[in-house]
Amino acid sequence: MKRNSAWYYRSMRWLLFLYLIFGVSLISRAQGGSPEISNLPKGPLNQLSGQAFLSPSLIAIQNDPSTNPVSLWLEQGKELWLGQAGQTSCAQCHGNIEKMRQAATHFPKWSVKQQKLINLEDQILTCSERTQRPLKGLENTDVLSLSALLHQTSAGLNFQIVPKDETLQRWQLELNEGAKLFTTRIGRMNLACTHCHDLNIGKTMRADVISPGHPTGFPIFKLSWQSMGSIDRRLRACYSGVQAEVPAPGSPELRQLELFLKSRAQGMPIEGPSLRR
Amino acid sequence: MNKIRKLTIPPQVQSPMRRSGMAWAIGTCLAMPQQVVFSRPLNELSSDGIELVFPRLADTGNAVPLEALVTAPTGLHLKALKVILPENPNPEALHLKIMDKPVQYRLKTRLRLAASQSVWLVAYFNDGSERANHAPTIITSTACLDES
Amino acid sequence: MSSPILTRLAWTGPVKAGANLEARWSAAHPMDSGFRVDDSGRQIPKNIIHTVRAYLNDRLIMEADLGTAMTSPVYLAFPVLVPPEGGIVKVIWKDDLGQMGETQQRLVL
Repeated sequence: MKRNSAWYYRSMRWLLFLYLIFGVSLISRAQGGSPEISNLPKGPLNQLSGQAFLSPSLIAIQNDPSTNPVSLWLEQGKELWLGQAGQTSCAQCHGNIEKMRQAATHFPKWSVKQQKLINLEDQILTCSERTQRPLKGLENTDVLSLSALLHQTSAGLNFQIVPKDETLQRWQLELNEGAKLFTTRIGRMNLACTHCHDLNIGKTMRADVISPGHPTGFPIFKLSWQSMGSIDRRLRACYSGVQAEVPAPGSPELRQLELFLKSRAQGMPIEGPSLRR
Repeated sequence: MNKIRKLTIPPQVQSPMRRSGMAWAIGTCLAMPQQVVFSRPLNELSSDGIELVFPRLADTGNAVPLEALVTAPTGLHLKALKVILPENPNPEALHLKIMDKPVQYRLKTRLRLAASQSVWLVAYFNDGSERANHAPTIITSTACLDES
Repeated sequence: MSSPILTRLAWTGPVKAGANLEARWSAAHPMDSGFRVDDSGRQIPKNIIHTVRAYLNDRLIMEADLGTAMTSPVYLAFPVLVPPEGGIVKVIWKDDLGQMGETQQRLVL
């Protein structure tokens, strides 16, 4: 009896060992990523925008205005800019949209009046309060439509985050804070932004391929949201992704991170509102 | 002597919560996702004349593009098209009724898939006949929890 | 109260009499399936576009019943045969809350 059971356990151990070897080889093969999704170019990956991480099928949808969901918001943005007869509109103060070519490149900026960093969506909300139809909420359809229009107008230009002399010191403090946030571990997963977006670019997590996280494509139509969203929303989704406490929309840390990300992306052109998974 | 036991309702069951349990059960059954019923199993129908373009590996389950080109058999024209996703909670995705009498119809749309499955396209012709074709796909999941 | 539903209607191909154009219609409707829950755990009620009708010169050419499997924004491409006199293509949608919307485009030969 005793001899039988010893043989049994020895053979079980051997089988378990074989399974582990086989299993490990399967996992390492799977880490290659699906060929249809991951079509990254060869060479350094840290200067790639999110555009390079889209599949050919999504790029085809993005390139055709009649299939691209972003078109809906862009057209709404154009109508809102011109406004309706008898009501105050953006065009009345700012003129033709072409005059706003540089506008989206300057945000986030330090607002002396509000004593905080503000981004383009914050500015749109503030501007709308001067009209007869003040808008509420960063993810409001009209706010995102105007943000999409302004980013489309600045497409091709680099970020030009240059602080005014009198706000330089304060601006520098905010940028330092953003850099610190980027490298601080957070959440149940105990990860900092840099762990994925600097150290593990190109690796796959299920079907997602980790990008460097450059903010050149905002506002984005994210298919998983089935809606347009701002950089504020995407950064909050990142906090949720590492299972950290999600900051409220408009929190200072989100603006500081945005400032840091745009400084990190210096030299990369704005792509205009983009499609993302 | 036989004791005839009187059937009494124990005090626990007499509570209002228990009585409404029956109502909840019926309500849940009625609120169940729809069932799609066909006259014949779809895989028995001919697939001639139905071309489907559907990705084998979908980028995301949230928007899977479908293109269908349906050609009616000679002498017939199209009356309606149905798009069925068997693994979805509500399998009937689209029921498109055509008023003109076309012999060919190209439909494009984007669908949300709950799980990897085959999409079925059923074409209805003016003589009451049906044809069906299917195309499989595997949907890929995102990794990160998104509570934004 | 609710934000307007953005819609778009366009077609591919040159507009000529007798041409079979592909009309592409999309609507940024939330298309809530009724299966999602919000932050507090409450189920978001079902609200999808359930009917789409396409008219060519006020004549119904297509009627679609949509289910929850249609993505947001809804995207539908269907053929339109250009009549010799041109005309107007109109697409009407209706949702579960009783809201309605209309988009029109003129076929200019």
